Amino acid sequence: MKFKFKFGDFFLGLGTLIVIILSAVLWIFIMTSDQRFSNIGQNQDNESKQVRSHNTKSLYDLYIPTTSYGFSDGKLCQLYDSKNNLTLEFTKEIKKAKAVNRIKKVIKSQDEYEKYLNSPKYLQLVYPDEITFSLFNRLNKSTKDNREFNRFFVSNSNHWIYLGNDQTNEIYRVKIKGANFDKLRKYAKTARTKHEIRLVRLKEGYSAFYVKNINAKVYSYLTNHQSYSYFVSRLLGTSGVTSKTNKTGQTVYSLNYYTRLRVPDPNSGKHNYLYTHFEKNKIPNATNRLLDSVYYVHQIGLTEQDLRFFDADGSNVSYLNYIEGIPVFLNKHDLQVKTTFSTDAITVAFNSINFQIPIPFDGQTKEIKPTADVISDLTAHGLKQSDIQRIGVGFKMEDDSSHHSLINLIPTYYVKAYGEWKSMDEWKKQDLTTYHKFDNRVKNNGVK
Amino acid sequence: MDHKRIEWLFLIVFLLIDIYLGIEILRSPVNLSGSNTPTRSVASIRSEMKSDNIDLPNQISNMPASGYYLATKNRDFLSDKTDALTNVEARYSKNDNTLYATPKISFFLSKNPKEIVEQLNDFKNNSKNVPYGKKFKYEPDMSSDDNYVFVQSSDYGDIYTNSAQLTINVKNHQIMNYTETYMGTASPVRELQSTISAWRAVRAMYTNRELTNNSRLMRIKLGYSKLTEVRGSTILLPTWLVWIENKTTKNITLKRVNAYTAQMLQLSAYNVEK
Repeated sequence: MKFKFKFGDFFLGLGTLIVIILSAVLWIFIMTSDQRFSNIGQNQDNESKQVRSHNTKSLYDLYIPTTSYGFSDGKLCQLYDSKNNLTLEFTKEIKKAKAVNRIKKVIKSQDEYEKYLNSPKYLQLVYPDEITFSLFNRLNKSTKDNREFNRFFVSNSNHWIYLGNDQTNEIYRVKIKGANFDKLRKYAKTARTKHEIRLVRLKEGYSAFYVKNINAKVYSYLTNHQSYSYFVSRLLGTSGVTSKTNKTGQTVYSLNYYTRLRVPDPNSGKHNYLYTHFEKNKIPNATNRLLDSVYYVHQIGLTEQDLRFFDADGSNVSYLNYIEGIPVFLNKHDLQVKTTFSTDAITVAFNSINFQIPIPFDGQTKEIKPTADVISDLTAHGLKQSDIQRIGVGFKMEDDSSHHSLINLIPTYYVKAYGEWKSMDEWKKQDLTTYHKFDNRVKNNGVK
Repeated sequence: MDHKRIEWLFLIVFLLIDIYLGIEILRSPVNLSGSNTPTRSVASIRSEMKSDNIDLPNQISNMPASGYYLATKNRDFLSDKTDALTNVEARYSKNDNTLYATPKISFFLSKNPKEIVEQLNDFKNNSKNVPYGKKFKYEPDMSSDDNYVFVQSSDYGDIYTNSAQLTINVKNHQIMNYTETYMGTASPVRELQSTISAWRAVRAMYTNRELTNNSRLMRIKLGYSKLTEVRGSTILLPTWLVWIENKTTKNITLKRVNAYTAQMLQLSAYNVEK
C-alpha cells in the first residue's frame, strides 16, 4: 500500500513537471519559431499565382506604360492624345503578343543605348520605373527572370520589340507574334500634343527635359472617400477585430497578433491609412514584390481606374493615380499606395481618396518652365543635378473653395532626390544641410 | 495532502494551457487570404447561375473594352427648333425639356416590320419632321409594336438616358405623334480608358444579387449613361447595359453597370456651381 502511494506521488510530480516544461517549450516555440510563418509564405506564393493567372486584366491596367515618346519634324517629342490614348493602344496589343524566342541582349553601353533613345526609328513607351521581364508571362518564357526594364522600343516591325533598362543601359530584343502596332504608329503621327523634349540621364535613368515653356491644363475632380469601416472589413474581416484609439485620435484595428490597420482620426480631415501584416519571411524577389503589391492594391479596394505603377525603390513599390498622363501627388507629396516589404512585416500605406467625377476642362492652364531652368534654380539652392534621381511634371492637389469635395489638380515639377519625392517649391524651401550631411556619411561609409 | 492538491491543480492548469498552445500552433495565423473571396472560374459561375435558373447568352465577351467620360452642355437645344418643323404640329415643354409633335398629314407605315423601321428612319431624318433626327438610332430592345424608341448617338457611342431619346408612337400603321429629348454634342472630358469586360459586368451583377433567379439575360451592350450634372454640364460614363427578362412575367428591365468600376450605377445628386 505504501509503495503504491509513493508510485502515484512520483507520477503526479512527474506529470506536473512535464506539463509545465511542455507549456514553456510550446510558448517559446510560438514566440521564436519561423515554422508558423512559413505557412503565410506558402499562402502568399499561391496568392501571387492567383494574381498572375486570374487578375491579369487588372495587372495590365496597373502596369500600363505612362508616357510615350516619338519623333515629329525631326525632333524627339513627348506624345499625348486623349482621344487616341497611345499607351492604352500599346497595352491592348502587347497583351496579345507572345514571345516566339528567348529574350536576347543586344546593347549594353550608354553610347549605344542613347542612340536608340534618340533614333526616329522607334516609338518609346515608358514606365516611370523598372519592372521585370517575368511580370507578363507572355513576353517571357521564363517565370524566374528578374531582369528589369522600363522602356519599350517599338520598331517598324510588328515581329520584333526592344526592351530597354535606363539604369544598366541594356537593350533586349524579343521576337513576338500576335501584336499589331500599326494603329499605334498612326496615332503617334497624329497625336494632338507633341512637346519637344530631350532625354537627360539622372541618377535613376533618363528623365524627359522640356525644351520650351508649355501650358499644362489644370483639371478638377469631385472626390469622395470610402468610410474607415470599408477598409477594416476588407483588410481585417468582420469578426475578431479589436480596436484601440490613441491620444492623437488615430485608431488601430487589430486581428490576432499579426494584422493591424491604423485609421486616421475622422475629425482630422486626413485620409492616410497604414496596414501592417507581421510575418517573418525573406523579402520577395523583384517580380514577386510587384505581384504581391498588386495583390495588396486589389485587397485594399480603392478605385483602380487611374491607378498606375509609379516607383519601385529597394523594397518599396508605389502606385499613383495618373490623370491625362500626369501623376497626382496627394497632400503635398504623398503617394496613393506604398507597399514596403521587410523581413518582419509588410506595410501598406495608402490614401482613401477617390477621384470620382471629372469636371469638364474650363480653360485654365499653368505655364511649365523648361526643365533645365528648374534644374538651374534647384542647383542655386544647393540641390545639384547629380543629387537628383528623377524629375517630371506632376499634379499638386488643391482644394477648391466652391465645394467641399471639389479639388483642382495644378501641374508643377516634382523631383526625387535623396529617396524622397517633393515638389520643386518644397525642395526650394527645404534646408538641405541634413540631406548633404547624411549623403556624405553614406558615401564615407561606402568608401570604408 | 495540501501539497498533493496543489500538484493536481498545477497539472490540470498547465495541461489546459498546453492544449490551448497546441491548438494555437496547429491553427494557421489568419492572413489576408482569409478575408479574400476565392476567385471562381467562369465555368463555375455559369453553372451556379444555371442552377439559379438564370439563362445567359452563349457568348459573353471576356475582353475588356474602352470608353470615355463624356460631357454635354445643359441647354435647351430643342426650344428654338419648333418653327423649322413645318410638317408637324410641335410644342416644347420647358418643364421636362421635351418636344412633343404630331404629323400635320397622315404618315402611313408598311405592315412589314423591317420596312416600318426604314420608313421611321426616313421620317426622323427629315429636319422638317424631327430636329437633330439624324443623331438618333433605332433601339429594338427598348421598342414595342406601338412605341419605336431611338437613342441619341455620338462619335463615342450611343447614349441611353431619358434626356436623349426619341419615341415615335404608332397606331394602326400610322405615326400618331412623337416625343424628343436631346442633350447636344457629347465630347470627352478625359482620355480614353479601358473598361471591364461584358462578362465581368454580368459577374458583378450576379454577386450583387442584381440578377434574380428565374430570369433571362437578353442582351448586354456598352453604352453611355448619365452620371451627374456639374458646372452646367451633364457627365456621362460608359456602362454595360443589361436587358433582363423575368421568365414568369416576361417583363424586361434595363440595368446598368459602371464599366469602369463594376459597380451598379446609382445616380448621384451632385450640383456644383462656380
